[in-house]
Amino acid sequence: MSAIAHEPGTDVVVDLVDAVAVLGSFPALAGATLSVRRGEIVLLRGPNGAGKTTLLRLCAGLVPLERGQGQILGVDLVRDRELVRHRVGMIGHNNGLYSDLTVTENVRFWGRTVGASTAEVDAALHRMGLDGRLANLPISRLSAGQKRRTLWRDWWRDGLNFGYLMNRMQVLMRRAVMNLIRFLNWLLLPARQ
Amino acid sequence: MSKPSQNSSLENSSPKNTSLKNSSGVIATARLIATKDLRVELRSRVLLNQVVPFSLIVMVMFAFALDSDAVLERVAPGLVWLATLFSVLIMVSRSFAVETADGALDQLRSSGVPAMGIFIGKTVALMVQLLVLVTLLVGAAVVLYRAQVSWSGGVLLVTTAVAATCGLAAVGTLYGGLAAGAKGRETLLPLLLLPVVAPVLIGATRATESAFGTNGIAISEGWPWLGLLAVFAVLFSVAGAVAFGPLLDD
Repeated sequence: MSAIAHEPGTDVVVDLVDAVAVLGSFPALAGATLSVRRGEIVLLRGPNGAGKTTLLRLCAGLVPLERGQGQILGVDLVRDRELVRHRVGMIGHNNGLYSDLTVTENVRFWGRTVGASTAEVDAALHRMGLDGRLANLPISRLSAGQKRRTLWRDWWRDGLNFGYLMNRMQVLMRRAVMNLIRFLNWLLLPARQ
Repeated sequence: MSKPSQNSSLENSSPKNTSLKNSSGVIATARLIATKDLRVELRSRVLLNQVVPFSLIVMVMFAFALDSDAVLERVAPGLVWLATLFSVLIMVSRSFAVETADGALDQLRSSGVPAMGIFIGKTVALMVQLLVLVTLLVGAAVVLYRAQVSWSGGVLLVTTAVAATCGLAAVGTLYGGLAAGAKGRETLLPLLLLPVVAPVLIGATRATESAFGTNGIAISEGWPWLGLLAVFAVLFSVAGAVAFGPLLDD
């Protein structure tokens, strides 16, 4: 597994040293060391089963750190893993959407979990182009791309340290992935001001 | 493309929302989750289109199998709660299938909302649906098995239904969460759940027998069984609220 970092900043937001994560009895991540600074865009590459997803889940506070040291946004992964969760957004293999609910209901529900107001939800829907005929469609009737747009609902979080961890990059061309991440960064910017 | 600010302190900045993270946020989260689950049910109509017909078919099949009015009158309370238990398995599986189908449970965890709120919300939504189901099953028992309910028996029956469904919903949500991430969860859930809910089956059946006046049992004899149901409901509600978070994490 390798990581390519671009555009280095100053503050370290991801700091892993010999991190070991175990899924069941299987060591899904065996001694990973990674340092990411604020503002960096990092591309993780590696064969299937190398531990890319586990590494992202570890950084999102969803997988316990069994051994080694780890800090995300200054929060210790061993002691305060839960505190990491609401400061990191993770886009995984799945979208986390409820197929029986409409686009608006999904965005509103997830907006409520992060404290977004109705106005912010409406603004998010408009910004993502989901406020037209799509707004009242159930998720089950959306295309894969439209679901992904609905997924980027958390952009209104205004924590400056908020970061996105993206998975499933293997299905996309590398250049497209980088453009996607730049687009997400641009998308996140208004929420920071 | 503008870059993120470089001069902020990592330690000081935090997400805008903290309202769902503190203790009062448990209630807000529970309400959010319960509303969402009930809305999903209203849209999908799994309860009305699948669970209710299934449980009614179970009641009818028992009537065919036993084929005796006298026997059916005697066993009606037990059949109502047996059909309810079978339906609970479907409803709990469905409740967590909605969360795991597209990774929503992971998203809930990563959004930082209190696990206790998730547990309470899912329990309340399940309890509401179970109350609807039990009401229909009691109606079916009256029609199919000629069960009779007096006014005073009705009070006992309603109280029993509330206590029993609360206990079933709490233990169902707890074990549903336990089985949610496991392989073969469809078969694991009945194995885990059915033995644990045996006290509910016994207590609710005895109390319902009193409410129906089955075999001349007095209504007053049903109230002590309600105590068992209440203890079960409180025990698993508290255990579930406390254990649900660590259970999801593991």
